[in-house]
Amino acid sequence: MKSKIIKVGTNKVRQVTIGKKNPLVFIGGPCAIENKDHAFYMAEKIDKICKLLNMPWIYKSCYDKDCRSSLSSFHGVGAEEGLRILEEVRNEFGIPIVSDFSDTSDAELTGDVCDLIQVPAYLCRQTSILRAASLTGKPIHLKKGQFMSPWNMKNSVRKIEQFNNHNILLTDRGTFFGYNMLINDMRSLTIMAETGYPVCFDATHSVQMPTSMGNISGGQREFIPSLVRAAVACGINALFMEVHNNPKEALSDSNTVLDIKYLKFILSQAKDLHNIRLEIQKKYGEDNVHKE
Amino acid sequence: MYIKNNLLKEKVKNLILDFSESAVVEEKTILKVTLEKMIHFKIGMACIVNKKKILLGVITDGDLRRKLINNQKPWSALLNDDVIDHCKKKPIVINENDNLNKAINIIRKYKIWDLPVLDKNNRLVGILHLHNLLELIMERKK
Repeated sequence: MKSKIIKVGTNKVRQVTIGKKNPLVFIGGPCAIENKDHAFYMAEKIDKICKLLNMPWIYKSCYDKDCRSSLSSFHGVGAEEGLRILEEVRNEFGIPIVSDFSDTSDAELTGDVCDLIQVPAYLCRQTSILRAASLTGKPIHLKKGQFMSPWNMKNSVRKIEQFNNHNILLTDRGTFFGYNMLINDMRSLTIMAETGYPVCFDATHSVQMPTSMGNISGGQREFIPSLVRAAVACGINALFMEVHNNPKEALSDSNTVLDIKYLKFILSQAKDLHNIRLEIQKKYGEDNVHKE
Repeated sequence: MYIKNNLLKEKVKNLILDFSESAVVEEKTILKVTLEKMIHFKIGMACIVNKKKILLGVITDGDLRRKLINNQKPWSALLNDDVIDHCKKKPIVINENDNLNKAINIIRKYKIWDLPVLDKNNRLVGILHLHNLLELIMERKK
């Protein structure tokens, strides 16, 4: 399968190219949009680190957290306010934006603002969501459901292609390993790459322990660095991590978001490893161990 | 003698099973769907074509038997693979204007049951199935 690249961002933003031998792309931001000041604060902090590392990046934050376990959990600021804030971040910092939607009625509006449209992992097979995301015309960030085998993700890819969208980024965010536990099968990155589309590793959701704390999710963020190194060595094209300046007070995924004080430490390693992998590939060639 | 002199001179195209009677799939069809078609038509071969009906390969019961003992990946993954990744890329074929004598010789030589039938532009027009050939011979014998 011939490898493809996707281009994210047009008009006024720094366009990011994902795939093949392009630099590793960082996708990150606070899980949920909390307010405009916080969104700007995080964008500025991350942008500074990525500029320092000369790393292309995409700002991620969501306005609708529809998959919370509890009705009392923060559900998001809503589409109207959230997208307005994201648009302002985009205009101010000139960085591409990614966000998701859980209701198809929000798709068009999300597509008007965002450069990359995310399909939530829990909804990765939903035809109506995939259709709505495809019809925005924007590249699609398709997350592998925790319940999905990596080879079955091809079915969702085919749906998107049939809706005439051929710009897809596939992401692994862990796979259910019994109840309330995820595990990373690094083979999933290679398997999903067989579709020809670039692949991404979501490090912070991978360390999540879904609904392990009664009505909210726990997590073991201490494993983020080692999992990032493993995924980059496998050959990912983009790295996804949710970051926050004060995880304990984060309104969403407080047990898994990465404290921004560690971001430079992890991205530096990821970038170096990515470059080493490209050098190794250049020196020894593509993987060529036959299946049978 | 009648069989030899007359029937064997008949053109292959007079005896083919067309697309409505045989398993013909496009290259990105998954293996599971391909197998369902083979089961539906009770034919041990599926032809893989592109949109212009150019034959890209075939997969047969024999290929699947070999998969059965050699496959290492989970079955759920194998069934979700594109058929093009598992088919034989240079299958034995026959032209629609060739005669049945040639077809029988190929079938005997390679010990196969089904032959993809192509037109002059290498487009698939159907398959020649051994059972149909036998039925014709038996009918003519009567």
